[in-house]
Amino acid sequence: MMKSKHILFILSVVLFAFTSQAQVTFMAKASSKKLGLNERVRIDFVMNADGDDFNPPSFDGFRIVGGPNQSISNSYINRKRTYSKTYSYFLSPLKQGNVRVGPASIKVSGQTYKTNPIRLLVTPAVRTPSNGEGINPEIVAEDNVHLVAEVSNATPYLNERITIVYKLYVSNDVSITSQWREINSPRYADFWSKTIDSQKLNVFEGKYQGEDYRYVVLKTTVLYPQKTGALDIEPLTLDVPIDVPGKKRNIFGRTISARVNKTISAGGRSITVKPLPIDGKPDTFTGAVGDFKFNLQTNKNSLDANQAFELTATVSGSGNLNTLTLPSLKVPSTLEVYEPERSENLQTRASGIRGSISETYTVIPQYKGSYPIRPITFSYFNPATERYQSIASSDIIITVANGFVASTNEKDSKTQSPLKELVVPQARFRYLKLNADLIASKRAPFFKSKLFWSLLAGPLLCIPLFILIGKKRKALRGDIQGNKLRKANKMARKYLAEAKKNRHDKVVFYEALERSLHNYLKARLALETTEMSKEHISELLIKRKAQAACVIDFERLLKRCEFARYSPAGDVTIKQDYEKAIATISMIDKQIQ
Amino acid sequence: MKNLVIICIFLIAALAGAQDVVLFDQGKENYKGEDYNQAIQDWKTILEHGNHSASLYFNIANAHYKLNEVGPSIYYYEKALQLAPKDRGIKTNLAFAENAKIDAITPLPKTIFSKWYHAILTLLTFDGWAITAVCFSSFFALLFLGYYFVDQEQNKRLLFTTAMLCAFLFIGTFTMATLSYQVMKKNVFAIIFAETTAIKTAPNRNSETTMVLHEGTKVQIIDVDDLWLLVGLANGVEGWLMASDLKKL
Repeated sequence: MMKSKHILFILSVVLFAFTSQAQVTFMAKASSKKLGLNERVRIDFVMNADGDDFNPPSFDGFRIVGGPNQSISNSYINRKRTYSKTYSYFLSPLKQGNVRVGPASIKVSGQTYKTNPIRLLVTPAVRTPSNGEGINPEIVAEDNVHLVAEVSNATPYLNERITIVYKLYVSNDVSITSQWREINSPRYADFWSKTIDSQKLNVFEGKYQGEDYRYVVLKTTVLYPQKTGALDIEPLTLDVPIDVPGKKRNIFGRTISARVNKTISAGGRSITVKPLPIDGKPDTFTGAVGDFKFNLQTNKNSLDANQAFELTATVSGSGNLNTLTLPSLKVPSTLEVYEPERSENLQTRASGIRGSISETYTVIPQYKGSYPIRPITFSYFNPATERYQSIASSDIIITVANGFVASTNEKDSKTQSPLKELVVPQARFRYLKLNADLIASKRAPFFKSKLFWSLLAGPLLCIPLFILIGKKRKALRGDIQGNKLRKANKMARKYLAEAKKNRHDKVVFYEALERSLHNYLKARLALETTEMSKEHISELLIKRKAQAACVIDFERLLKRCEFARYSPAGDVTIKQDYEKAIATISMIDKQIQ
Repeated sequence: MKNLVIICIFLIAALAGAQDVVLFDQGKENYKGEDYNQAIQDWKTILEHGNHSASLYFNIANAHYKLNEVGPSIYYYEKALQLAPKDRGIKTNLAFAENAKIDAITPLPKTIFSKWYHAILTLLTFDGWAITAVCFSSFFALLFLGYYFVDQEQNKRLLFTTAMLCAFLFIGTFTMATLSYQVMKKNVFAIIFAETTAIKTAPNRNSETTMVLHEGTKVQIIDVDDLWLLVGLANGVEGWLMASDLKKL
């Protein structure tokens, strides 16, 4: 009987539980049984029925910070209604020690229910206070969300690319469901910068200080320092709404999150920019830093004058392509070159600027000929190898087949006007000269040589010389033939003057003639009158190298003088003898030495 | 013995001359076969032997032009022009080579008188002027002596007039020779061989750059200071250049 009564009771209770919702529970729950003096505690009074006339306890020893917050939750699962009504109070303890929270009461269908009292232990103030929910969402947010700025290189070279990646690390304990707000966007003074905002926030798994985190890349900034020295980068500051899950769960078993707005910043740091090394810096270096390729191309290699061709200098690769200057073209002056057209095909990625820039020159040759375009050199600094590198373009030769040839010589006075420069219209490039005609190259100049001076002065010096010689020759000729003769004649005539005076008187004439002849001999041969024998005279005269004929004449003359005094003679013989005497004396005078 | 040595020397000289002619022809063949480097080598050997000619320089320049070496080609054309200043062929090819050089230097304008003066002065080389001066001096001497010794009145007058004319021409040509010689001494030109070179305001590397010159440009050497040359350009610019960057004509 007793047993059957028990079974009946259990059955009725079970039946009641299934069929009736009138079973009322009313309980008090504290978020923590133990709290610091500076902490807060949350007391929930939960009932599963819609009661009214709620009467909270007095909360002696506490100060009510918040509440009562009333929340009602009503849900149906499998047509079963779950109802709960909660009154929450946030309390701040006023004193240490054991504090009792008294019972609260409520009336459901006229019946009064009471909660059991709760005993709480208030300890001295703790370092990290938590509010009512046990965990402080602020602290949780701070511990679980991190903004990190990853700088690829803190000591780059001037113009070397550095990348800053801003990553938001979120631990698995918290979540971010709303859009954050950028409070402070960094400005990068002294940098060329390009920020790549992530289009789609992909969530990656990663580690943060050894713990598993999820992270998103917020943005990537590519920087090219434009100045050396310590450069400051401003931090990125974000206002992030963070959902911190509480310990509480809702009736579906999900934790109830608290949203905390947190200001986090990162990336405020200093970058030391190194200057480019001076060692080995090429002359052609204009500030390109990176890794490049360079070439110079033409679209035509042969054309006619006054047609255009294009020369394109292209730099491709990665580096500070946006700020670099291409080497300028060096072409012969007779090619007309127009300002280059610059085209860029650049993409900025986290790895830097990549792509190519090119300058296209339009060139018009004016004259025919072949035009070598000298290689131009592009130099850059490769930060990876820390070396300067130079790339020279290859030689390009442009052949202009038809057209005019420029003026032959600018020094030609007649070809000054530009029109006249085209005087040689269809001139061809001349072939070799075929005759060697070699001469010694080291010939002393004739001008100012000894030979020159002598050849120059010789004839001039010859003039007085010849004149002198002429004079002398004349004088010489006179002495021998004329002067000497004339002198002898004069002497003979002097000696014969007396004879000449008396030439009409035969006797006197011959006496005078003989005397004259004797006088002459005395004077010329220093003879004494005593020695005047004919033989002696002849001998002396011959000794003095007088010619034999003359000597004979002289002797004959003397003989005639003696003879004529005694013989008859006419005027004719007198005159003859006189003349003969003059001639003979002259001859002898000339001959004797 | 002495005669033998002289004969030997003449033989060697003749052989060397013959060898150079062979080299010249060999160079022509190489040029024809488009082996320009070998042709240049052949012809330059002739230069090393101490022989030269306008044709030789012209051919060397042509080969350099074919190799697109602007500086050397202009240099050798100028060398050829020094020996044959009136040659059309050399002038034409020099124009081709000058088209390919990078610098365009506009010469300062000259007055008509300086042009005339220059035209007359360059009529002959200074050696040419010297030879004419020698000729006129001889003529003068002969005519003057003729005048002096001839007795006939009419002949005397004629001879005196021509003698005076010759004296005048003699003085004139001698002056031209002297002037031409001075101009030659003063006008020492050089061609830039370096691809690029900078004209500096003072003979040291750190001084300011006045102008940048390129291969093939002709400059006049005005003064020398150790390794530096003071040069003048046709447009009146003056400055210092490294002596190693150019080659004297």
